[in-house]
Amino acid sequence: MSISTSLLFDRATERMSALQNRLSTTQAQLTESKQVLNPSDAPDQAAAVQRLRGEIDRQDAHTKILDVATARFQSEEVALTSATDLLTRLKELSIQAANDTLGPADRKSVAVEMKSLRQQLLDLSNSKDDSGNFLFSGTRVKSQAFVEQADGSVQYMGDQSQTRIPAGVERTVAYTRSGTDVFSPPQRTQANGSTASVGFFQAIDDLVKAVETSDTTSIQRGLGEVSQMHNSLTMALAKSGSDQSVVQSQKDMLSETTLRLKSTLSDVEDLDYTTAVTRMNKEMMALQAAMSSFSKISGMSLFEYIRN
Amino acid sequence: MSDLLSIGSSGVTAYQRALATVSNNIANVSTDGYSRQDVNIAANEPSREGSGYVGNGARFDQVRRQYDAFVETNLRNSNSDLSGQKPLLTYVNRLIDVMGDQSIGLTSAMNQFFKSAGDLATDPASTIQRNGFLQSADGMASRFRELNGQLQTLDTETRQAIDTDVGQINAYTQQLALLNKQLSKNGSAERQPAELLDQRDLLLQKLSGLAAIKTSFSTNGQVLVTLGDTNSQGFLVKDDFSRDIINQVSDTGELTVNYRYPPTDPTTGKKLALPPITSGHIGGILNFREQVLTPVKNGLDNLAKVMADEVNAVHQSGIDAEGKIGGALFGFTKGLEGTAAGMQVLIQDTSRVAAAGQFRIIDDPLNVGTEQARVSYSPAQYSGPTGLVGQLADGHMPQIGKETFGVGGNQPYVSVGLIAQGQSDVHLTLSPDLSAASVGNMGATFLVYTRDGRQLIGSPDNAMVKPETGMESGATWSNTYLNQTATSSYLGMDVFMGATAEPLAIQQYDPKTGDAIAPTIQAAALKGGTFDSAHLTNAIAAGDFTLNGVALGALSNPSNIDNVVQWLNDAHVPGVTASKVNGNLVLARSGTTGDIRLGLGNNGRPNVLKALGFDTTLSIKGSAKDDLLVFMSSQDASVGQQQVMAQFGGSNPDMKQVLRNNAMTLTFVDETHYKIVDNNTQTVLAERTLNSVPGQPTPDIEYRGLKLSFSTSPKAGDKFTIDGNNDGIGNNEAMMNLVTLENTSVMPGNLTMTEAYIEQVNKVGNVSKQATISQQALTVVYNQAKETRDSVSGVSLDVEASALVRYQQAYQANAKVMQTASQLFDAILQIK
Repeated sequence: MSISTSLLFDRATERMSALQNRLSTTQAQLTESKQVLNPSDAPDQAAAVQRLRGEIDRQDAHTKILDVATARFQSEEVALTSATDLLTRLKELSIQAANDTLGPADRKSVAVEMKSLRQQLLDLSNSKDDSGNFLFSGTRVKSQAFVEQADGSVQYMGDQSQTRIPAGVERTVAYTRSGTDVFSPPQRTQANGSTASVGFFQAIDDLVKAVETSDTTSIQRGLGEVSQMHNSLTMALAKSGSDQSVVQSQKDMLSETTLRLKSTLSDVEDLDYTTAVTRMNKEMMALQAAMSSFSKISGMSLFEYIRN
Repeated sequence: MSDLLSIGSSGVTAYQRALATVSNNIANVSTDGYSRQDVNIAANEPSREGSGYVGNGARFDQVRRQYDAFVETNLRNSNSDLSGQKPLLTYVNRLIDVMGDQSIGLTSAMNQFFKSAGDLATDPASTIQRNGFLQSADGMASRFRELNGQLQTLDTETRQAIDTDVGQINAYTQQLALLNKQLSKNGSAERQPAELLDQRDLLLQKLSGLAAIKTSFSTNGQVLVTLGDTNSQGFLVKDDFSRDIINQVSDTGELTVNYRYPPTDPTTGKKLALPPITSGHIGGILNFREQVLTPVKNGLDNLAKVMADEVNAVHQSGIDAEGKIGGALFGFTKGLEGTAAGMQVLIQDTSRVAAAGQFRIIDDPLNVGTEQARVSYSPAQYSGPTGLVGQLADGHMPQIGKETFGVGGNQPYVSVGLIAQGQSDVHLTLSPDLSAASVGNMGATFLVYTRDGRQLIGSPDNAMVKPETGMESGATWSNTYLNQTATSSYLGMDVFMGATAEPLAIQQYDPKTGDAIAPTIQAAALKGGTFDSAHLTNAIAAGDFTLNGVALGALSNPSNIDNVVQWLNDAHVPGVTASKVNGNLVLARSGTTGDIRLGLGNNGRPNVLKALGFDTTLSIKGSAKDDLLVFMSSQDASVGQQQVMAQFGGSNPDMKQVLRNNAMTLTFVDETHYKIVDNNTQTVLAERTLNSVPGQPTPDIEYRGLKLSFSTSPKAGDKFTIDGNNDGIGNNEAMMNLVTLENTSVMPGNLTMTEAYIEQVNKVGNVSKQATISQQALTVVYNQAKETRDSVSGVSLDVEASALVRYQQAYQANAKVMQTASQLFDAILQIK
């Protein structure tokens, strides 16, 4: 089969420019250190890349939410630890006050310290988190949890519902706590034998009054109630701690998942430098060979040999 | 005569022409579409010399154009196929670059939107987070619009490309027509100038690149060009006539390429349409539009619509920062509803972002169990009636609805209908037919239940407490509220069955001025109809009837009207006196305030009441606070027809609001039994069993559309309060639902919204991959065809060089022959 001259030249040019294209693509890949420069370079991978990127974003979003949760739990922990310490001190004072060797005047001075402890506890119960939301108001986060009324009694103004926040796909984590779960009202046996709950701060106020008036039975009762309240605060502290560890383990799982996803994405998207450099060398050699062979072959023409 | 000179000169002339042809070939080595011309040198006619023939030299016969029709057709076809792939691939790659891009593609915007929903769920009270949420929503809406804009651009570009191509085709066909005219001057293709034929073939090749054509050549080289598979469909070029084509856009944006002036088919008389163009450049663009662009655009519009609908549904189930029910978050501009182009965010105010749920469930702090409860609401679906049955539903005041029911015999119960929550002042009147045949029959009575089996009216009967009649699943029968009044009644509703009369207010007018003055009040009087003693054969037991709430005693002989009057008065109901007027019973009140209610107790029958002279009316005063199911039952041996009339004041159902405004408490009596109690009235709304299977998650509890789910099984004594969330700004139920929406399969094919978009990208990617492979294969085919054509019609300089040498030698040889002839002649001339 004979080749026409124009076809010869056309073919050679076509092939050389194809080689040059491939070489420039490899060079671009080397510069960007990415195998897939545009989605159209690997169209069957485009969907997979999108999916992976989306998943990675989602893990990041969840991790950030968990960071927020950790911050909140830590603020809670700080408040609760201080509150527990205060209650411990209150317990010590009540034991002291219950001691019969103390006289009324001494009891009065004990009562003074108790009052200041009560005030500190009230302030702690109204702690806020980083965003200015009250920690112990349930979902009424913009209103104070425990409010002192005009008559000196303290009312819980929050609500009881608990919220959960998203911490992963199909996973939620408990977030807010209601004030009465933490500063929980102790049970008091009434005169008719039934037990009713008495407000947290009400119990402390009763105790203070009992100490001031040297009412030993009430002091004993108050001591029992303070033990109950201390237990419930410790329990709340433990719950907060366990929530924190749940969040931490969730975060660990998320970071592992992210790592796995990122490495899958890298397999698809990123460039393997060794193969790319080898390929570049191969293409350069091919181009050089094409160019030099073309110049030799195109110079051959029968006309040059017809000397007349 | 065959002599040396003429033979020589014939050869010289012939080879001179041959050399000219070769030099023509060499000059045209790079001419587009040029077919190599070969010389045909034929021997001259021999002349007779003696007994044999002597040759007369050669002549230049013709220039043979090196041309293979089959190879040319092959080249044209493969050119069409290859040209069809190129635009498809280019546009598909452009589309995929747009759709898969991080900043234009939709995935990152959707992910950002759901991420900000999650952030807002963490701090629903924060204005900053709410603002961030609105911004992400706006970002997503504008991304939909931008992506749509990109698709629009592709649409316009492809349409313009087709316009250009169509114009080109018209130009080519017109030129072909002119060529045909030129070619018509000669009778056979062999005689045609080769240049004309080359031009014809070049035009055909260019035309084939735009659209696949079918050609048919006549003997003189004229071409008939058609689109499509057969030659009988409309042609583009025939003889010296060409038909123009244009690009038509329909109202819906669809593109068709058709004749500018459609010809009429002579046999059928219909207008001929252009056959569809499937390959070539135009074919490739049309394929792209049809197979890729349109489905992607439709998919995007569908995704926008579903996204808006689903997000709005969640948002509208929530409460915003001002305590109001959430509105629609996404909307569409007018005229662009349901399309990605029109998507926009409707809410600008951060306090109108509904993050909180409409309901909340609160664990009692003293609960022993550790389960977490969630509450959600969706309108409940029940079996059974959706309103009053048949024409009873027409009884909206002042009209009266009437319906006849057959009840009794093998059909002891029949459904009269549903009195929906919100329906007010309902009266259902039963007027039993006391014919002679029905003496001794008990007749029919009404039964009224709530959806949880609490019976309110009628004789104690639990046969209808099952889900098929409209009850909640798991409903149990209770008679705690049966025929109760005032504070003991169900939710404090005033439900009564019997005969009533109220004080009548008669409007008075001032006789002088005609103005309305204070109306006079007539005392209530319950006037009975015919006293039918034949149907009063059975004794009346104590408690069968009540008068104004007081249970009436037993009456052994009710057929005597005086006994009845005595029996009624013996109850000593304050203010109410019974008497006999004209042989009928009349009950009258002494004062102008207060009504008379002669009611049916647990075993009272409307038949007996009718015999006493009164119809039985089931009436509900005020608005119904819960759905009520009404049945009629009869223990008679045969089916009796009972006529019922209905009338009601208004209908304003809003079960959701009622549930929100009335808190209720769910208490677990033990681990498998629970009850729901209304906090306000302490009415027991439901008592049911929890069918939990060990190892399976705790089943949800449903009540009038509320769905309560528990993380683990509840313990005995656990209590939960359910009410409408009105001030819990830290509640994030609605936002949590939005976060779960990201992973809910709402798109067809069981895909989530992000997955559906990625699926689109995948489909486009597949088309691109296939087109790339097709293009590679077709390029090989095309190259083969081109090489074959070139080997037949292409000019090779080396071949021409050798031909040049050959003809040059032949020329020189023939010239030498002439020289020799001249020398021979000189020799003859020199003979003296």
